[in-house]
Amino acid sequence: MRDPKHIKIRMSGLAALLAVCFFGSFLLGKYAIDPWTLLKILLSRVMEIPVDWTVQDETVLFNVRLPRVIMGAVIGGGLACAGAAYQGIFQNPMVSPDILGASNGAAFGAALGLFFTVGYKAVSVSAFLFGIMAVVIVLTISRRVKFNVTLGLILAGIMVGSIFNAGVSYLKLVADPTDTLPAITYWLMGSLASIRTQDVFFACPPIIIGILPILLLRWRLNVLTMGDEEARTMGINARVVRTVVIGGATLITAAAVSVSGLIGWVGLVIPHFARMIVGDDYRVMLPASILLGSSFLLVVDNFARMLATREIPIGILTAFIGAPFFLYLILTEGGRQR
Amino acid sequence: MELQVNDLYFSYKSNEVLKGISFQVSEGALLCVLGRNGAGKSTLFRCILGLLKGWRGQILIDGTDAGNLSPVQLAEKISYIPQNHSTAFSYSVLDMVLMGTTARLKRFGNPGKQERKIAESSLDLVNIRHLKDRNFQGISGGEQQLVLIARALAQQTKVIIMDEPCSNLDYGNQIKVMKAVKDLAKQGYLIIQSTHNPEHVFLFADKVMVILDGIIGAMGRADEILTAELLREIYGIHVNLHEITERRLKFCIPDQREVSYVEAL
Repeated sequence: MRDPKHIKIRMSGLAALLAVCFFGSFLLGKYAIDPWTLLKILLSRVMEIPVDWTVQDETVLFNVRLPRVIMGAVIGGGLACAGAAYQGIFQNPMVSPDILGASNGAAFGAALGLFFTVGYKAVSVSAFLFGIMAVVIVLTISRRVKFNVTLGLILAGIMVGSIFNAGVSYLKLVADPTDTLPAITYWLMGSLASIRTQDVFFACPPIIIGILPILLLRWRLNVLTMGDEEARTMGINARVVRTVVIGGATLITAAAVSVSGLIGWVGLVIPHFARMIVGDDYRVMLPASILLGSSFLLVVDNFARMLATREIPIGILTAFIGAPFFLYLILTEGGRQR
Repeated sequence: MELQVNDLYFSYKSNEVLKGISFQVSEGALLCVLGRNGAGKSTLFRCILGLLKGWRGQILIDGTDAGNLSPVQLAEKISYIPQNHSTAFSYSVLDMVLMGTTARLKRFGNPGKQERKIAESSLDLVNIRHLKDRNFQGISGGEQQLVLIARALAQQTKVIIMDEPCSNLDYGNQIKVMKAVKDLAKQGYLIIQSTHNPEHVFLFADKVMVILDGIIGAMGRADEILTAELLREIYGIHVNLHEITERRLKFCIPDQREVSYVEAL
């Protein structure tokens, strides 16, 4: 398993899996498009091809399916990346990207926007900003904790997260039960159904900008798992690396929640799955997590739109799949270590 | 390479731990630091390694003030070998050793071919190249400690600080690790290690430094300065020193009456 050749093969396998999931997801949905038509429509953008498909085919493909598939892949990869990075900087494999309150903050921001019915775009912006604000508050509080930096961060994260949670509950309480309350509730369940091109342009840049520094620092994440002091004696300023990684992960989480609502479990489970496939070394584990996270969310989203007559919010499905899978991982973890 | 500490003071809040430590050592020596729990051994190490802020005094590495060095600069001069410990994630032995090369990498760099070579020759230095592809968590405690030593070697510093490297090891592994450490000192490294075992000091150390409650109680060759009285002062128990004359080797055994007296308490 440690053989570099094997790891290369496995990484190519994961990349191929993502490619299959990506193109497969175009075909699947209430409005089916056959592969041949898909290919022709895509090719028609770059060369002259006689049009033998309907306008509706094209509209569904470009305005509905394409943004949804791109967003699903980017959010899945981003959340997995953020989760893997957090597990490294907190030296704890049981940590998920919402540990510092980013998603609670974003949820509150969205609920606030929905409560005042400020319009779709403004809800996203509000969610994004509140998500970032929550983590900034956490960082500010944790600076005052002297004894144990990571514990300080986690405690501050739990506290800030639960305050924003309470805020969401209050907004639900006072919201109009005929329209605003269901809107908030449904939004919080997490879904990719309403993703349009504008959402892709809104959320993709911050997610990709967030992934980049984490990818660049992936070797240092290995060293940081040895603990702050040891890492420092090897020339790493733990505080700087941790702050950069938190910044990146927060951009990812806040942007993801701002367009899709709360999609849990991806950031916690996928890194573990990646570890089972390529090992713990962040140099390969992090890219593997991103590929796997993208594929996972695309597959789950296909189920979300196909499984029932009505769309099932994807957040519900990721929990249904993620929680038992996580339990399985914990139960088999001991055997893997040796 | 020379390490010089002048008048070092350090307090945790109002509790003064280091009360004016001064010493000087140069390369090619194994310096053992003895002292009871809480005497200030680890605090001294952590000051030198740049892990504690707010100390007073002077720490000079080859004439450069250690207080002014960045983590990378410091990591290029001093490496650290912790007690072997469990890690949250599992890495191969080679990856563990590669971590020692981090200070020489560019800001966002990953270890490459050159670092790999350094890591492999570090594994050779402690004779554990055959463990290269094993999982760090799957090897014995003694082997893990040797891997951590190789990691420090991969950092390519002349000064290596070890905090009780043998504390979790069985008797055989303790001797193996101490031998490896002694070999490195012979090759020109300056190794400073804390230990709770006076036997190790007699067997392996070139020099010994005794820390008594935040100050240096004595420093010099073990067979010259480590007397029964001094050991009693360090540990608070009666110790009898004996010498095997044909090997000119000293060893100590605790005074039985004294021990049973302590137990009766």
